[in-house]
Amino acid sequence: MPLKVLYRGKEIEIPEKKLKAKELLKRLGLSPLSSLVVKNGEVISEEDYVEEGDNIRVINAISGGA
Amino acid sequence: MPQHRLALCREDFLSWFERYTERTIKEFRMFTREDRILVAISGGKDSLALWHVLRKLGYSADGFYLHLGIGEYSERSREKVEKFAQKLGAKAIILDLREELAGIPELKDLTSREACSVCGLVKRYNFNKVAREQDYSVVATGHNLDDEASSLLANVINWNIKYLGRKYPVLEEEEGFVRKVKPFCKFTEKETALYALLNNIDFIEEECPFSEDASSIFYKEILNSIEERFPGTKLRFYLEYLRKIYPRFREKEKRDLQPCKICGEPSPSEVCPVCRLRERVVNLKGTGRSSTG
Repeated sequence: MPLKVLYRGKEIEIPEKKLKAKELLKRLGLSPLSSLVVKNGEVISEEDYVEEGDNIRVINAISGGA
Repeated sequence: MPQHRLALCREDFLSWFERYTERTIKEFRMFTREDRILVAISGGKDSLALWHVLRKLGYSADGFYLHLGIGEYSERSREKVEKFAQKLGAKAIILDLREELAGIPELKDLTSREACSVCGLVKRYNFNKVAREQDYSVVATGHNLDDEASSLLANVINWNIKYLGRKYPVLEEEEGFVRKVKPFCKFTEKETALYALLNNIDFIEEECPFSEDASSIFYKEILNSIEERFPGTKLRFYLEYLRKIYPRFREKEKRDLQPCKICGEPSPSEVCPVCRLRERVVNLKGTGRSSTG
């Protein structure tokens, strides 16, 4: 079963069973300097793992505009 | 937070964030507890977190949301703002740009400006106008360190000297203008996002459809690439500008403004840019053409 990640309102599937948060961000093309991983409602550090079955949400803090 | 040489647990981070906000407000003499503050809110993490923290610190802060008419994105933002205002038990002033003038998609088609530029123009205009009309002494925005450092970088690259004299966390009140402040100017986007998340603030995560390819995002990514290699660069770039560069340009740039003959807001010409836009909207409606067609 792949990892299911909620990112900006859309569900994305990553074909892995377990990944470090920083690796997950890398797969999504995001920098750890501007992104956060939330696992089962808790913000986790870049070194923590996410695995299949976890409720995973990624927040990209970068925004554009004037 | 490598730039601050800190690693904090949840409770300590929240406490640090609030104390640091207060410190920044005092350092730049932004406002006091006697001021009536209007927080410009978009539904995003920065503005909602700012509104939250200012009220928590005991400041008199109401929210102002400008509905930009950008389809579902604006609808969802407005819903977030209304729910958050209810949760805070605070007053939110909501103005619909489509009724006031026209939505951003229509306005964009009426000018040669980029959508973000038109949006910035009408936001600044309405923040000031509403604050003046409703007796607020200060307008506070959620601009963070990434916003400030990336626009500084863009303007340095283009040697936009005029800008270097106006980029400061406080723009003092002057004729026709209320004071404008940026209490989050030393926090990174990640820090404000974390504060919002840890306080269960329900903010809009999706990017405005018009700013997905905004140049500001490109400059932010460039700065983050440098930051990864040399932690602390972003904060240093901004703070050293404030300390060394801003004072050299501050005195030299005097703005020549007059009250707009139509709306009375400060204007660089007889008729302000927003009233000129309004004339175009009226003319277009008069000809029966759709600006988006």
